Amino acid sequence: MSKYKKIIEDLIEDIDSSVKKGFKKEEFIRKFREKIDNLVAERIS
Amino acid sequence: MKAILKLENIGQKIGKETLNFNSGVVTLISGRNASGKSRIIKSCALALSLPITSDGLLEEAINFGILKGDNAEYLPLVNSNKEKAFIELQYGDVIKEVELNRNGNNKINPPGEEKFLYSSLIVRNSKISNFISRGDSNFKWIVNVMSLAKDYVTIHDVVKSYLELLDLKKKEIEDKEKKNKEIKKKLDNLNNLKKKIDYELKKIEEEIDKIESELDPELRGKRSKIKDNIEERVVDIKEYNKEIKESENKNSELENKLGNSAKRLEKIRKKLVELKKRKVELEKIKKEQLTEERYELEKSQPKEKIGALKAEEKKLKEILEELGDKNEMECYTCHEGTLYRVKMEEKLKKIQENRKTFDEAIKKKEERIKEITRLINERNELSEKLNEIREKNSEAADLKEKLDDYEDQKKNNKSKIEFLFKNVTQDNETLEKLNQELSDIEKEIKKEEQFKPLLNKKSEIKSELISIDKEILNLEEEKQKGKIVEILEYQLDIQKSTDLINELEEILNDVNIHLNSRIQEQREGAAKKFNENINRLIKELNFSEFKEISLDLEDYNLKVIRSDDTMQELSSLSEGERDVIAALLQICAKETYLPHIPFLIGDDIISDIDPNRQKLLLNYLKEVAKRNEWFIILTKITDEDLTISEI
Repeated sequence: MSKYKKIIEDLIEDIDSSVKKGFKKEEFIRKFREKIDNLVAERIS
Repeated sequence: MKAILKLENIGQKIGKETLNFNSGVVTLISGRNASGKSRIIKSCALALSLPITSDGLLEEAINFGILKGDNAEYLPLVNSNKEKAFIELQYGDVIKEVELNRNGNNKINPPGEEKFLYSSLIVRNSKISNFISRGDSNFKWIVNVMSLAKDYVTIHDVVKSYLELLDLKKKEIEDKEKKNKEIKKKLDNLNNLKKKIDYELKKIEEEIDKIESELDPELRGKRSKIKDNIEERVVDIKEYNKEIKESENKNSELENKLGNSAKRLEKIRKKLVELKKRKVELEKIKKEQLTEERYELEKSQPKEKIGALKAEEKKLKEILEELGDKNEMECYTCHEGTLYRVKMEEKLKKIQENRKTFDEAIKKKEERIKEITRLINERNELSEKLNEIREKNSEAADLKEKLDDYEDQKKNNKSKIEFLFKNVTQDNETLEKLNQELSDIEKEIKKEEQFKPLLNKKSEIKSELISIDKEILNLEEEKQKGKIVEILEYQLDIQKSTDLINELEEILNDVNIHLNSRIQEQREGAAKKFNENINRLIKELNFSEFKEISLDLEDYNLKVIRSDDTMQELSSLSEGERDVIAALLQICAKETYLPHIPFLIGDDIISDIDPNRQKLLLNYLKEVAKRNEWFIILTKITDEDLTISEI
């Protein structure tokens, strides 16, 4: 895995947990978008 | 176990009706066409499967007639003279309540499992049947729907859409860089041209000076001073303009930073509003009170009383069984008294009523305990939310500080620009006056026939220089714009954008690798489980003409291998064989993927199978029903009135 190991692991954990709890597409897209947004904000600040 | 199906205004029948089914047996609903068989099983299927959200399953539901398609005006199961219909299905301690409206807005409580339609409903035009009858062996869809692969595929598509967006941005950056290179080339050309023209201008001015050196020295001296003054003013104006340009560029950068920070702050404020709302909701939950209430409820379950009632009920039932057809008998424990049927039945009825009351009370208590536990778990979320609020507040405060700082810088820049503009204006005014003075003096000392052509040439060259300067200015502005790219609503310079895109691509590609492996894992797991069950079923049902029926673990195509080891194409199977295989696959799907919902429903699946195979299938279904305590309900077309019987 790349130097972004922690970020990737967090995303994968979120995905697996979301599927196990009973996947809801709209909620997942909203949370995923928020995560990517936070990632981008951290990078540009 | 018993199942009670209560219907109201379903299909052709107006009003209420109640049907009872027993688990552990095969129930056959038989009757002529349009006698009402299908509406019974459709009602069961609807109660057990809605709501349906997957596209493939929606189609299945519409085909089966339990949901309204786009071209239909009304929901098919609701009686055409009524606006609403109701279904209640009760089995064990599960009660499913459905309200159907003609316009298609249905309410179901609690929700069912949509996979029921693929795995527990055997009908002629089901997806499995349709695939088999048209010879399509690609069954990847079944392992997707019956496992978590479907969800991972959806997530994979979401990640893919982000990667496609990043790809578009890369293309945009490529185009901008290409354009910027072209602009640079143009600027270089213009600057070179400008140098040449400046040199030409200098030559002409030298020629003019040479001619003037022979003219009136006093006037020449005056003119020389004016010209020096003009040059100083021009240099000053150039410097001021350069500084103005730099300050404007700085302001442009600050605008972008302000824009980005303001957007980020807006998002944080929205999130804070949500978090604070949730905090208020959670604070309303009084944890200590609820914990105490739960403790009291748990303490107070009257287990002993129920135990006693159950024992007495059992005893009375035994006595009644012993009595058989008789109305009285000698008490077989004490051999002295008489046991009367009527009295025993009365007593049994009372005990059963008491038990029902107790059961209801216990059920209510258990529901309350469940509710309290849920609330307490939610309340425990509070400290997490408070931390999140603290973090977001701190982030918001930092951003606000940054924003204020940017605003100050912007203000200072603006003042500087205003001051410089003032200077430029003043110098321009002075320059105008000096040029006028110069022009007057030159009129005095110049002899038109000597100077006119040179002055005209000089004027032309100066005009050309002005237009070149204008073009350079426009290209510089375009170059400035071409340095900024918008990524997910943020304005970033090209280098930062490229770095960000590369990082995000790396992260998302790695995530997709993981997703692909999960999808593969889920599909393979589902297919293996399915294959084990289908081949066990073939043996148990004595399908000796088939050696193996299974899903390929790479492409999930259905393979049929005959007992002589030859591979059989689905399209070359006889109709009877296809019907049997379709029924087998459906039963197998049920046993593999949804064994915990104790219903298997078949609509007219046994009529066209040959009698021997029919007998084997029915015996198998009876065994499966008994073994798993399932309700297996089949329909059959006959030329009689509707009857419901156990076989």
